[in-house]
Amino acid sequence: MLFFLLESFIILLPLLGSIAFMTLAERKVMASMQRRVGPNVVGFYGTLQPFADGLKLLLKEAVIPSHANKVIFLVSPFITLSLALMGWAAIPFAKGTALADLSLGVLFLMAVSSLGVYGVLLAGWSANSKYAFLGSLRSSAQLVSYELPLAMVILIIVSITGSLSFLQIVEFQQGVWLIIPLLPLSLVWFIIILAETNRAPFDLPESESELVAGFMVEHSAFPFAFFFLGEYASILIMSVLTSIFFFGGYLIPFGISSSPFLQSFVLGLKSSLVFFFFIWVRATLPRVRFDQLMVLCWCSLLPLGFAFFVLIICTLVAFEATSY
Amino acid sequence: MLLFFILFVPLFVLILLGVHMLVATSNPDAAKVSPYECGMNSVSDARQKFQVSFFLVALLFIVFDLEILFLYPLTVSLYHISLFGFWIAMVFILIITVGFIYELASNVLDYAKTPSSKITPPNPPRAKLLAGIRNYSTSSSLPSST
Amino acid sequence: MNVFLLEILPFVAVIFAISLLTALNPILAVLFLIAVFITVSAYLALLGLTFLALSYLIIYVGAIAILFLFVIMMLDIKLAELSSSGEEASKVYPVAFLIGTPFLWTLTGSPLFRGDTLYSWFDLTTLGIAHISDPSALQWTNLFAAFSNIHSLGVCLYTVYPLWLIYAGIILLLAIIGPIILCLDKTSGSTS
Repeated sequence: MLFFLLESFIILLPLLGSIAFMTLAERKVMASMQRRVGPNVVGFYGTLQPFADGLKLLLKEAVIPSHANKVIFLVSPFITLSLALMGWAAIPFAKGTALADLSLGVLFLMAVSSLGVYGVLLAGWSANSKYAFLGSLRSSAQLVSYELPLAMVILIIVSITGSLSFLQIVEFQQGVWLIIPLLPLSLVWFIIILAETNRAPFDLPESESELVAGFMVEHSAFPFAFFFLGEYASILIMSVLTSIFFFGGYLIPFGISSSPFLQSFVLGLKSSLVFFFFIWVRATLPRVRFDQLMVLCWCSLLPLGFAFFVLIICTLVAFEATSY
Repeated sequence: MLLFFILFVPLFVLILLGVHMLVATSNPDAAKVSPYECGMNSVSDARQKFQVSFFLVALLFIVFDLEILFLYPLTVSLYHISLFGFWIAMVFILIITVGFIYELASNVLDYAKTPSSKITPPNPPRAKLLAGIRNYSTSSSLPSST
Repeated sequence: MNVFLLEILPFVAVIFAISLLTALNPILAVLFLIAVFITVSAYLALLGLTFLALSYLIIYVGAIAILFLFVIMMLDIKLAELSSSGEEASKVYPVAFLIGTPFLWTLTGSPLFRGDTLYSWFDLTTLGIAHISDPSALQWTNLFAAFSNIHSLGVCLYTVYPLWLIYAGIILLLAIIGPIILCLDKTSGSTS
């Protein structure tokens, strides 16, 4: 039991730490892109800024609105953060180094992330504020819709690798990273993960100009921080998934080394590059309209996903002629 | 291990929430806990009726999610079901496609109610420039008219 | 640990189901419904039917319960109306009882009734052990799980029972067309 506890902490604490530094990285990178300085007062070069923010949020008062359904109001951020952290159980950090190497790991992650809608929906409903309600409606419609193309892309990758286990998906890419045969699909994937994590240019739920802060407008202090952490944990998990699905996960190019430390470091490096892409897009693109967002999903990405799926399985079956 | 992790994570989050409840100040007053509406007094219930399209999205999501779930076993056993199974899968996907075409043709998911093609595109810069020059040359010296 | 959970989870599910029926707040009722689904999915996962358990999570909790939440938010029901309609509904209890009684028959297959003698009804301490020591309860699922159940499901579905798959596809097609027709406003040809 103590060993289990230790192992869980070994996953959770660095995860929360990396989320803290992700927020700092986002502010710094966006500041550089917009020719500002960014946070530079707390600690050397602003490095202690996230901890200052976290402590501030810890000590602030959590206001619970009088009209709110209090239990659900507090439960919804709890659900969001718990589910965002739970998905990490299936991620392999290096060869053979996953908390639980599930044979259906991809499906497990899909199931856990599909439950994340509840936090959003319940938060908006329980707060009993108009902004929160509209924000949660939009956000849940968006999350639910983009789950379908996400599942389609995952389906294609699974049909190529022939396994739902993350470890085997990574090991499959020893010859070639999947981004090379699947470059068009990876572009679709990038669009989907931006929408699935509520990031710019698809940050409709939190579009400040219309909805103030969307579904979490009434949440303050730590309940708000839970939403924030949950959102960044899901961004991080999407970055890691991108590197697992398309960039060979923990594999080091050309098989230079196979030390687990280096492998996990390489996985972190790849994921950081994907996260940099998230920030880059946020600093570059304006927000789309909500109807455009839905039309993009239902009329472009989903049919494209199905068409690509048919193409891929036909190709696989055609070139695997010996087994028939 | 997985079971432990799944049970431990909510506990961990709960402990974080508990620590916050212990440390944080709490002195609510009437103005502080009133629903936030940018300084206005809130009128009517926040839980209003909303557009049917959201409902339709949820309905269609169930159907497509089920279809995708039917395809998961196919992806894993693609090489073990012979050409017969492959063609069955193709027929299944064809049936999905019929639904898809119907959905796209009926245009129900268009939230703006007007197809985006009907929105008149803004004048291209060159046309605008020409129009501006024409206006300037025809109207004499009344800048307010332009 | 797992055996203990296998014994406990059905009872938890039943408790959640009862509180689902008695909850006055419709949102709370849906939350209890989700709790029932999650418990059942955990039960399936512990039995080794991992793919079914995860599809329970994805379909029932991740899609259908969300639809219920949407609907309940949309209906905009006041609590007073609900309790008044509840009084009306209680008039049909005799009919409900008549219809419901035959379902008690299914309970005879449950571990509670499996013992040879009436003694096992009351000997609650050995109930769990008696159930588990009966190997037929768990063995077939283990056999199924040993062959990666998603893989065997795929082979079955696409080669042995293809007609059922196509039926399912046609039903799903109808499920797409139905709501779209309902949502189409005939007069203007747009959503209403």
